[in-house]
Amino acid sequence: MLSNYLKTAWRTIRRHPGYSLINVFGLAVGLASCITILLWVRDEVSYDRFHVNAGSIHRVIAQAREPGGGSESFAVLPPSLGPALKAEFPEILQSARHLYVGQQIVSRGEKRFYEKKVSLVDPDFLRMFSFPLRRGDALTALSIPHAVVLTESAAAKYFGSEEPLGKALRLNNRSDCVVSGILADIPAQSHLSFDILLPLQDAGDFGFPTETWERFSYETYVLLSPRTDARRLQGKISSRLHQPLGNSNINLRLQPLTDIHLRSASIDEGEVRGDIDTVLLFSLLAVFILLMACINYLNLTTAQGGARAKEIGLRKVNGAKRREIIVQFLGESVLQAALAMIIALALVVLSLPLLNSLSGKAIGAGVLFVPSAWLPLLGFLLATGLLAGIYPAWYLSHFTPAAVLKGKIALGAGGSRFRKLLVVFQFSLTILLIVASVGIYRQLRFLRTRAVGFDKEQVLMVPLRGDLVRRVEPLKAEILRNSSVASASAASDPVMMFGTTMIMDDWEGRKPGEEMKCSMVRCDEDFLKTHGIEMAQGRFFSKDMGGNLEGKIVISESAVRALGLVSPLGKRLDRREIVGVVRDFHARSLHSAIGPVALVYDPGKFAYLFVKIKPGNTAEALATLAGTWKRAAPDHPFDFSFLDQQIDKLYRADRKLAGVVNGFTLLALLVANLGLLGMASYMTDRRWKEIGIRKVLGASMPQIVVMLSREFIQWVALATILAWPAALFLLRQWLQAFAYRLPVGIGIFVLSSLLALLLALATVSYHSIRAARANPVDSLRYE
Amino acid sequence: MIQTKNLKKIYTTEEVETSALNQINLSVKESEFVAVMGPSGCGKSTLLNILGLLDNPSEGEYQFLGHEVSRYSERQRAHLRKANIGFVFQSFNLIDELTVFENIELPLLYLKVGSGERKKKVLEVMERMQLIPRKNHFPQQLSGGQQQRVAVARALVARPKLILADEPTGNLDSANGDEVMNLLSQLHDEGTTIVMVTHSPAYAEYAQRVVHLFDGHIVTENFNQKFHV
Repeated sequence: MLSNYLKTAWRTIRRHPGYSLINVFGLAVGLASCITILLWVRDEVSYDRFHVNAGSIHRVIAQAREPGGGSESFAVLPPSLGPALKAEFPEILQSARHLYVGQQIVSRGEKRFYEKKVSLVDPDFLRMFSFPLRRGDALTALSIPHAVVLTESAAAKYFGSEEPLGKALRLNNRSDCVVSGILADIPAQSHLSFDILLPLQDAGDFGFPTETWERFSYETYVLLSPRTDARRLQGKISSRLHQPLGNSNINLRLQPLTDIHLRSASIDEGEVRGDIDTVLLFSLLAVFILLMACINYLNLTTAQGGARAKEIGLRKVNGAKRREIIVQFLGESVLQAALAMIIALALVVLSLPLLNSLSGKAIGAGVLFVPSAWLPLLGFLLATGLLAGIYPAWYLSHFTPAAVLKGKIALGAGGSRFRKLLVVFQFSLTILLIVASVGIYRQLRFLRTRAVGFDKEQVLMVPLRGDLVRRVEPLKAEILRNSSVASASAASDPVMMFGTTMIMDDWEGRKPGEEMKCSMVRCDEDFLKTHGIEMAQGRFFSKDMGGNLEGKIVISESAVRALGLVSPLGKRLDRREIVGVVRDFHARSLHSAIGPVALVYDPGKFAYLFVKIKPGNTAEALATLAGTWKRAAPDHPFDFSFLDQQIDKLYRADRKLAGVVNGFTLLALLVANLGLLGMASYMTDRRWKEIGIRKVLGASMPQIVVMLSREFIQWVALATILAWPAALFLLRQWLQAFAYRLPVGIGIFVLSSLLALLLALATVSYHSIRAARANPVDSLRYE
Repeated sequence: MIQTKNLKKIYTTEEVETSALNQINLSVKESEFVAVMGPSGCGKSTLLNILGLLDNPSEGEYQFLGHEVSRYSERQRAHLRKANIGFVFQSFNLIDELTVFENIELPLLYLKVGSGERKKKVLEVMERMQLIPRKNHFPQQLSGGQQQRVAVARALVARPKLILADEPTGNLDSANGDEVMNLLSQLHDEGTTIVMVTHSPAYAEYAQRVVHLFDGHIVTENFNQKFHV
């Protein structure tokens, strides 16, 4: 019996190669998208789960209530907190602090590199987390000063095939530290990422105190004893900072380790993390796309039912029970799903590089071909086959043999309204995705081209490391001698990335309780010139100003308004004298609105040198500049980037989203149009006779094409009605994140629907034109 | 009106070539009523399709209303067809989704006749066929005879010069068949040219001339005595 079913299934596939191709390929695309997205989702949700203690480790975070309501969360805490928590609360078995110290120069003999991922940790760190230690002892590796633990890749970089344990590395051209352990490379699915670990007791070398309640710079992790109720413990530790800080607006919370990657959206930590909402949204889309593919299968198979009605009738006449017919058709859909799965796996392997480049991940195809993946894939295949096949099987098996054999079954008439609804649903989703793609694209282009109040073109950004900060004046003088350099300026932060927020509460004319929050930058006298920012009144810092430049301040027009000053020049603001007002410019990314800015002169805190290059020969200017740099700062590699590119990176997450949404849109379009192709071919087949009659009676080819397309146009129109409100809602939601956004006009909605319509018509036209051109006799001959 | 010379039609399927019509020389004068008879598969319907400009011959010449049409494109044929030819089929070929009125109206729509005149013409022909009470019925709600009356009405409504009927009585009982034949006969009396394929010798009697086809050849042509009195 099985071989009979298989034979029938195979011959059906061969007899209708077009339908079968659409069915199998559609399912394959659906499965492939779903698998790809689920691989990504799996990667996102697997963060930090490899630690043996993953379930018991929590990060301590702080939540500060702001005066105007609302609250701000942050993950960096004072160094004294970790040891205090461990000492005071028996539920806490271990505590480990983690201090990220940024880029350092590490050298061994002639080998010298900037290491970006350097962290300082408590000795317990390696016991609490399960980063596998390949060499050395987890208990002691970081308990002595000037020890260093390297990852295998870092060790290979400095020691090659030599034994690294016990050997020395030089840090920042100053101090030596001895390798005490080698870690396996940190997995990509870890929110903590480092190449070099140093003992926390060395923090003083980097200017960080290890005991104070004042400075917030350490991440603090705690390991709870088994069966500890984290919520209750959180209640107990919540107010631990009140007493030492003398103010009560900061409360502590415990964040489970496994939540950190996906649920830290509200925590300000300057790291691009995942987002649980995006993961959920994408999972949903993956399911929708697979659902669409199943719907297409269901639609086409049911519609085609008429063609198989005779077979079903005859099987019943010859003794088949309904159950057996159902089994046969389910078997066919599972068979087609299996074929689809093979194609899907190939598609996934082909599309992984694209996924990785869009998402910044490194997911290998290998995970699909290990034994532990077989069961889920098989389950997936069966689920798809059954989902796609159950309705057609149920529907086709109910034909009564007598009616079928007398030819009284209207070809695929049953459930046609249901099928149309499914097609409309697909088109709604497609239109929605097109609107989202276009909307995101327009907003990102808008951000790139919007005037920001300064000139970001042709500005090089060079970080000042080590003692360069103290030697910046002669370095600048040397660079300015270069004829291709227009100007140069040192400052603490790049524009649009000002990191410091200052709260001012002391100025002339201030009403009680008033304060002004503003972004602050420490810069030298050439900052305006280099960035093309304009003065509104007064003057900028200048060496010939006389008096102490550190005692002066320049503010922006927004700051003047926020302070409520009529004539700001000469007024005092937080013990400084206002000497000038600059026109507003963006101190933060366009996600936030333009706000008050303060510029102060403070050479000790410079972190970058900005060099404005004259337009024209950038490559040549760079080469000369590199030479100048080498002479002036031989110990420090010339490490630069362009300001406009750095600013572009502020919207990296948005662009990533745009890329993924575009991908989804294409997939949905592909699947929806495959479905449409199937429906169109079925509908023209069904109306073959009618088309013939109409042609005999004088209908022209265009008239037939219009007649056949009319119904599809109605579907797209209906889909439009459903899609627009949802698209508007989602797009508005996304745009909320930007202080500056293009208004959402009707234009992109109309455009999206037109695009969907055009694609639909193009798809349908293949069949309608074929039908319209056919010789009418062919459709009427075999009546 | 119709003049064919050495008309030939060959069907080619994968390996076999079947000659459906061979050396057909036939002429039909205006206002003539010709019946085509012959066993199943002798090429009657193929001949009718070619005469009706639904299909092109493989070889030979075909003059219709003075035009040499054997190499016409589908577009040209459609143009000539809709103005001059009406069809009646054995299986009625009504469109299930359209009502009686709409089915009959169809040829006028494609001839771009204005709506007022269309209505007048459709009602006129419906009255003549006694279909007025069935105006808003769908084809499935009608008996076979009624359906064929609708098909004849549709063939007539544009007042074609030629009516081609492919076994118009084949699916009807004798009472309904007689009724349809009487209708065709009346039309002929009014001057319409009719070519009709039939199996029934009795209904062939209605024609002035009977052409017998066998294996794609015309074997005999008989003139009906009663028209030669």
